[in-house]
Amino acid sequence: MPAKVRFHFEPCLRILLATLSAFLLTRWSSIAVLALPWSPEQSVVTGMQLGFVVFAATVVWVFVASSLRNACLGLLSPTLLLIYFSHGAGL
Amino acid sequence: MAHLAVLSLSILGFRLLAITTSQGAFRYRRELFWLGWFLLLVALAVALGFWSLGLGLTLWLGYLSTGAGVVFLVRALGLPDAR
Amino acid sequence: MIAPLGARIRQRMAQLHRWTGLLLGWLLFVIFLTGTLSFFRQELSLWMQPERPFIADPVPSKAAFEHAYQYLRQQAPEASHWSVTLPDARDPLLALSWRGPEGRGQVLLNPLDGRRVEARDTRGGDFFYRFHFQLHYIPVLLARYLVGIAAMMMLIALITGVITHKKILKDFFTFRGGKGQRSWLDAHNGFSVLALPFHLMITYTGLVTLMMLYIPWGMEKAFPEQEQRQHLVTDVFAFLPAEPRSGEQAAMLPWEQLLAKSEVYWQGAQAGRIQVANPGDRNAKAVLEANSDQSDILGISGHPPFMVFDAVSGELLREKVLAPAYDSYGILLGLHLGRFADWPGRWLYVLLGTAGCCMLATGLLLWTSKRRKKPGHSRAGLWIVDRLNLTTLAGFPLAVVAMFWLNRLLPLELPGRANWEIHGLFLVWLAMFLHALLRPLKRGWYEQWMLAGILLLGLPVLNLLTTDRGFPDSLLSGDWLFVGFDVVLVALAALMFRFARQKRES
Repeated sequence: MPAKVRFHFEPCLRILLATLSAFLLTRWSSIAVLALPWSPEQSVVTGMQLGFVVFAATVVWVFVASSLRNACLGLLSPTLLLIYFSHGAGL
Repeated sequence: MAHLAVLSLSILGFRLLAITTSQGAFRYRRELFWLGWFLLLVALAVALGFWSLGLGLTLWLGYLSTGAGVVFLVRALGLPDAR
Repeated sequence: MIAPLGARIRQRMAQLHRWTGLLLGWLLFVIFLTGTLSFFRQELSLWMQPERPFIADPVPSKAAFEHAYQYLRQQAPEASHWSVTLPDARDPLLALSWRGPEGRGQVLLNPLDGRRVEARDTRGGDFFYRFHFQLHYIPVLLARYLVGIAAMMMLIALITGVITHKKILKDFFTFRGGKGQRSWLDAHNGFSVLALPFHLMITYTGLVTLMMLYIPWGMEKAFPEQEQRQHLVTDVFAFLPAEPRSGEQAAMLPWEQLLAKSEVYWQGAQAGRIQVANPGDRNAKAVLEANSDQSDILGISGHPPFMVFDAVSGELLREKVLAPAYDSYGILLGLHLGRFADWPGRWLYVLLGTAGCCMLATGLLLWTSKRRKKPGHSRAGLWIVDRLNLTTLAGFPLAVVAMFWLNRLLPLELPGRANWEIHGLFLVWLAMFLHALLRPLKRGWYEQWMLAGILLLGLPVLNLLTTDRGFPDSLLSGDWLFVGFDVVLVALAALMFRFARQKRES
C-alpha cells in the first residue's frame, strides 16, 4: 500500500469534537435562555431561533482554532457559562 | 411596475460599479462610481416607498442579487461590453 | 482516506466546506430543487388538474362560504372537524376537507355554483412541498431529521465557503476582475456569491420552520406536560385542539357574521380559511385565518392573524398572540415560505432558488473536476461521485418531468393514481441511476440531458393532445398559467439541449 492512504487522527478528532460540542452547547443554550427575564414562552422560542446559530458557530470555531487544544480551551468558557445558567439561576 | 423599477435600478447601479472598478482610465470615473452606489440606494428608496419596511427590504435584497447576477453573467459570458 | 488538516485557517475552512458540502450535497440538491418548485405549489396543482374550470376573477368569500357550508352540512354532518380554504388569486376553487369518526374526505367546489369539481387524482404541487422536507418512502420523523442535518451542513458549508473565499466576496463587490480572473469566472463562486443573502436566509429559515422538532430541550424543560407545549403552537398557528362534543345540538351563527367581525380586526385583510371543530354541537368552535398573501396589510409574517370564535354565540375566545419572539419567528417563517410575494416576487424566489440549485450542482461537479487532475486520487471514489452526480443533477430533474408526463398519461380511473405518479418519478430516477452506471460517463450525461430536453419539449404537445387547454386555447382565453407553463417548458428544453451539446463537444 502506498504511504498516502494513511489514517489521520486529528481531523477525525476535530469532527467528533465539533459534532459533540455543537450538540451539547445548542442543548444547554436552549435551556439557559430560560434565565432571561421574559415569559417562558418567549424565552423558549428565542432559544430555538438562536440554537441553529450556536450550532453552526461552534462547528466553525472548532475548525478555526489553530490546534485541538485551543479549540477545547475556546469552548470552555461558553460551556461553563451555559451550564451555570441552565442548572443554576433557580431552574 | 415597482418590481421592474427596482430591478432596473439595481442592474444599472451594478453595471456602473462594474465599469468603474475594472481596468482602464476614463473620464468621470469617480463620479460614476458613486452614482452606481447612489442608484442602489435609490432602488432601496423606491422599494421602501412602494412596499412596507419588511417587504421592501426583502424584495430590495432579492433584486440586488438578481441585478448583480445579470451584470455578472453578461461579463462572464463575454457578451459585448459597452466600455 | 481523510487528508490531514491544513495549517492555515483558510485551508481548514476549505476542508470543512468540502466535507459538509459533499456528504449530503446530492440530497441538498434534491431538496433545493423540489423546494424551488414548491414556490409554485398552487400553480403546479392547477396545471396537474386540467379538469379544474378556468375562473378569471376570484369569487368573493361570502358567496363561497355559503356553498361550502351547505356542502359540508349535507355531506359531512358527523365530522368532528371541517376546514374550508377560500378561493384566492392563486387558486380560484373552494377546497373543503373534513375528518371525524367516519373517516376523512376532501373535495373541490366551484365557488360560482357550489358544484363539485371532478379533477384527476394527483398530489399536484403538494408532493414537491412535502418531499422537500420529509422526502418519501421513509418514516416522516426520520426524514425530517435527515433533512435537518443536511440543512445544518449547508449552513456550515455556506459560512465556511464565505471565510475561504472572502477575498472573492470583496472582489465581487468592487468588480475587480483582473487578477482573480480564473476564480472570478468560476461559476460556483458566481452562483454562491450572487445569491448569498438568499442562500443564508433560506437555509437558516428552513431550519427554523422545524425548530420545535430540532431544538426541543428548552421547551421540554419549561413545559414538561404535552398540553402546556401545545399552547406554544396555538399561540401563533390557527389550530383547534380536539375537544369532546357536548352531545347537545345547537345552531351555528352564519359564517358571514364571523367573517365581518374578523375583517374589521384585520384592517380589511381577507380571510383565507375557516376551520370548525365539532360543527353543529353546543361546543362548536370556529377559527378564521387571514390569507397570508396580503403583504400590504399583513407584512411578510408566515403566521397570518387568526381569531377563534365560539361558533354558536359568536364570542371571540382568543386570537394570535403578539410578542417579539413570536413575531420574529413569524417573519423567519414567512421569508422561507414566500407566501407574501405577488407573482413577480414569486418568480424572484424561484430565480434565486435556481441559483441555489446551480450552486450545489457546480460545487459537486467542481469536486470531481479538481480530483480528476490529481494523478494519485482514488479512482473508485471518483467513479462513484461521478455517477451520483449524473444521477442527481441530470436524472432527478428528468424524473420530475417524467412525473408530469405520467400526470397526463396515466388512466384517470387507475386505483391509487396519485401514488403511481410518484412511484413513476422514483422508477424513472432509478432507471437513470442504472443508466448512469452502465454508460460511459460523457455519453451518459449527453443522453440524459437530451432525454430531459425531449421530454420537456414534448410536454406542451402532450398537453395539447390530452387536454382541451393546449397552447392556442389557453392563449385565446387569457389563461396565463397554462401559457406560461408551456413557454417555461420550451425554454428549459432549450437549456437542456445546450447542456447536451456542451457534453458532446467537450
